Amino acid sequence: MKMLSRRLLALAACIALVILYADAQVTSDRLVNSSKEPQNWMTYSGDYSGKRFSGLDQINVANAHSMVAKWVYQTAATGKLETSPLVVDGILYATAQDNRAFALDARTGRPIWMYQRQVPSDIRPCCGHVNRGMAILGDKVFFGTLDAHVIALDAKTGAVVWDVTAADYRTGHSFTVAPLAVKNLIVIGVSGGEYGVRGFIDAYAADTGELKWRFYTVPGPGEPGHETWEGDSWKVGGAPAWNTGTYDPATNQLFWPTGNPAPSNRGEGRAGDNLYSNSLLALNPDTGKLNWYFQFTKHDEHDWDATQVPVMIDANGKKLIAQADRNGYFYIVDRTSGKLISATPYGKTTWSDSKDAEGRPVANKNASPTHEGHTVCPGALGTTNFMAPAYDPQTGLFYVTARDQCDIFSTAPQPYEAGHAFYGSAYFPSEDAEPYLGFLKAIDPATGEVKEKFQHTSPTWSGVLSTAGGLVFSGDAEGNFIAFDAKSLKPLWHFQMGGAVYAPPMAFAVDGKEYVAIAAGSAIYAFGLP
Amino acid sequence: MFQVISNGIPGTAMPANGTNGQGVGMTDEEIWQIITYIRSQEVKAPPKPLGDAAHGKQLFYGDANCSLCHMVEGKGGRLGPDLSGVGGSRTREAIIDSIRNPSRRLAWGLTEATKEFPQEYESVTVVTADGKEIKGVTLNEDSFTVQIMDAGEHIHLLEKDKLRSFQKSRQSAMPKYDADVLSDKEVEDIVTFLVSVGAK
Repeated sequence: MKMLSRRLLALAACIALVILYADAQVTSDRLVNSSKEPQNWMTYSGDYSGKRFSGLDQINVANAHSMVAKWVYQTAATGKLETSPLVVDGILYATAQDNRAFALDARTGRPIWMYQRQVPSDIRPCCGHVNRGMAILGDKVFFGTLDAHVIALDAKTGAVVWDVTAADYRTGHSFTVAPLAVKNLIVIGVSGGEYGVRGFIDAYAADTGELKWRFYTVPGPGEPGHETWEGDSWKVGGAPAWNTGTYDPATNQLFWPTGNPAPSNRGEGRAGDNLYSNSLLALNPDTGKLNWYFQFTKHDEHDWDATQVPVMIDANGKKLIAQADRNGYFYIVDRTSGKLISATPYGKTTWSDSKDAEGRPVANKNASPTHEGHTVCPGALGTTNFMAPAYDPQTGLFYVTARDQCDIFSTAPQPYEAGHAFYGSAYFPSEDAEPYLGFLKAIDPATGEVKEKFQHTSPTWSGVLSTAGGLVFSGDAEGNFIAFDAKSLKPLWHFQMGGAVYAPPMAFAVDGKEYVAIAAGSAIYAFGLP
Repeated sequence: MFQVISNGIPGTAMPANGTNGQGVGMTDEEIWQIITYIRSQEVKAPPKPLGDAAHGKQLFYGDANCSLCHMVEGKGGRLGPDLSGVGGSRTREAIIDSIRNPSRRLAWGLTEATKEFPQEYESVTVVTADGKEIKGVTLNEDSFTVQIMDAGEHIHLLEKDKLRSFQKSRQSAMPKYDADVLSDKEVEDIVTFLVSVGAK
C-alpha cells in the first residue's frame, strides 16, 4: 500500500511536470502583464520596467532570518557566472559563460536539458567569458554567444530552432547580454567596445531568426550624429550595447543603454561628442528608428559605459527613467522626451564640477587622461558597472551596488588593429585613493540623495533584487548572499555560498512556495523558507 | 610566468590578461607565445647582485628578525606573508619600499583583482564578549566573520556580531625599518637574499 502511494505520488509529479511544460507558452501579452504572475520571472530584470522587483511576499522582513538553501546546481563552468535566470511555470532557464544554456526543475535544481555551442579557441572577448542570461517568447528561449551568434532553442528540449551569425567574433564582436523579447522580436546588443567594433542593436524575428532591423550606435555618413566623430574614427567607434534594456508598452519605446567610445581612454583622434556612445537610446521597437537619445558622458575618455539597466519609474504623474551611471551620477530622465530632470552624484567623483544648460555634469579640465597619468574618480570600473539595480515601489527607493575607487588614467597613441584590444591607454589603482570601498546604496529618486547604505567588506559585482516582502537581496565578493531590510539596509540573514558573486538575484514561486535564486562561484543557488 | 601574465601581479599596474580577467583577454595559447618570445630574449648571464646574499640570509633569520613573522622556503613565521617568491615577482625597489614603509601598500587598499596575498594582513584588535582582547592580523574576513592570527600564531575564528568591539587598522603590524635599524647596505643584502631565493 505504501509502495502504491509512492507510485501514485510519482505519477502525480510526472503529470505536474507535463502540465508545467504545456503551460510554457510565453506570449507577448504575458510579458507585458508580467506583474500579474509574480511566480514567474520572464525577462532579465523580471519585467519590462527594469525594476528587478518581485511581487512575492511569502519571504518577508518577519521571517527572512529563517531562510535555508533549497538546492544548488553546479554548472562546472569556470570564471564569472553573471547569469540572471528566468523562471516560467516551474522551469528555470539560465546560461553559463561558456556558450551554455540549460533548463532546470525550479523546485529541485535537477537538470532538464543543456545546450552548449563550442567556444572558438582563438576567441578573446574583453573582460572575460561571460553571459548574463536568456529571453523567452512562445515556446523558445534565446541567447547570444561569445562568438556573436544569436540562438533560439526549443524551451522543452534545448534543441536548436535557429542559429544566426550576427557578426565576426574575430574582429572583437561578441554577445554577453541577455536578449529582450519585445512583441515578436528578440532584441540584442553587441559587445566589443574594447576592440573598436562599430556598436549595434539587432532585432530578430522570434520565429525565424530573420534580422528585422539593426540600429548602429555609431551613425554612418549622412546620418544625424555622424558629425560628432572626427574623420574615419566612427568606423571603429565602439559604443557597444552589452546590457539589457527596458521597454515601455504604453509609449511603445525600447530603452537601450550604450557603452564607451573606442579607443576607450584616448580622445585624441575622435574629437566630438561621439554619439551615441554612453547614451540612453529610445527606439521604436517596430522599426529600430531612434526617437530620442540622452548622452550621459560626452566624448568619454575613462571607459564609463552607460550600460546600466534604465529603470522605468513613475512619480508625480511623470514617466521617468532612473539610471545610476558608471560615471558616478544618478540621472533622472523624462522617458517621453529624453529631457534630463536631475543628475546627482551617488559616490566619489572628481571629474566634474559644473553642469551645462541642460543640467548635465560637464567634465572639468583635469578630467582627461594624460601621458604621465593622473588620478580621476571614479576609476575605470566606475561607481557602478553592469550590476543590475532594483527599484522598490513600496519604499520608493532605488538600490544599487556602488564602489568608491579612483584610478590613475594615462593615455598613449594606439593604432587600430582588427581583433586586438584598442584601449589607447592604461589605468591602475591610484595611490591617492583610500581602500576601495564597496556599498549597497539606497537612493531617493526624488532628490538623488543616498538615504541608506551598507558597506561591504570589499567592492562586489553582485546585482540587487527587491521584493514585496520588504526585502532587498544582494551578494558579495566574499561569497555571501544577504537579505536586507529594504528600509534600513540592515542585514537580516546571510548564507555563505563559497564563491564570489557577479550576478543579480531573482525570485520566483513554484507550488505556492517562494524561492530567491542567485549565481555564485560556478553554481546557481535557490533559497526559501524551511 | 604564465600565472603572472594570466592573473596579473597583485598590487601593481600589471592587470590580469587571461580570458577571465579585466585585461586584454589573451587565450592560453597567446600567453604561451609571449612567454616563448620573452624566453628567447633572455640574457643568460644573471645580473651582478648588488648585495651579499649570504649576509642577507643571516640578517633575515637573525638580527633583523624578519623570520619571526615571514617564511622563506618553509622556514620562518606565519604572521606575515611568505616571501619565498617575492624576489622573482617584485622589483628590488618595491621590496626595499616594503621594508622601509611596510604600511604604505596596506594604506593604498587593494581591490579584489590586485590583492597581493590571499589575505590582506591588516592589523586588527577585537574584544570578545567575555572581555578578552585579541590583537593580530586578519587572515580572512567577510561582512559577518573574521579570522585572526595573533602574535603567538594562534588562529581565532570569530563572528563579528558576537564581539564587543572590532577595530581594523591599515597600519601594518610590521615595524618600519628605518636606516638607523637597518642600513642601506643591510637592506640591499636582504633583498639580494630574497632575489636569490625567488630566482630559483
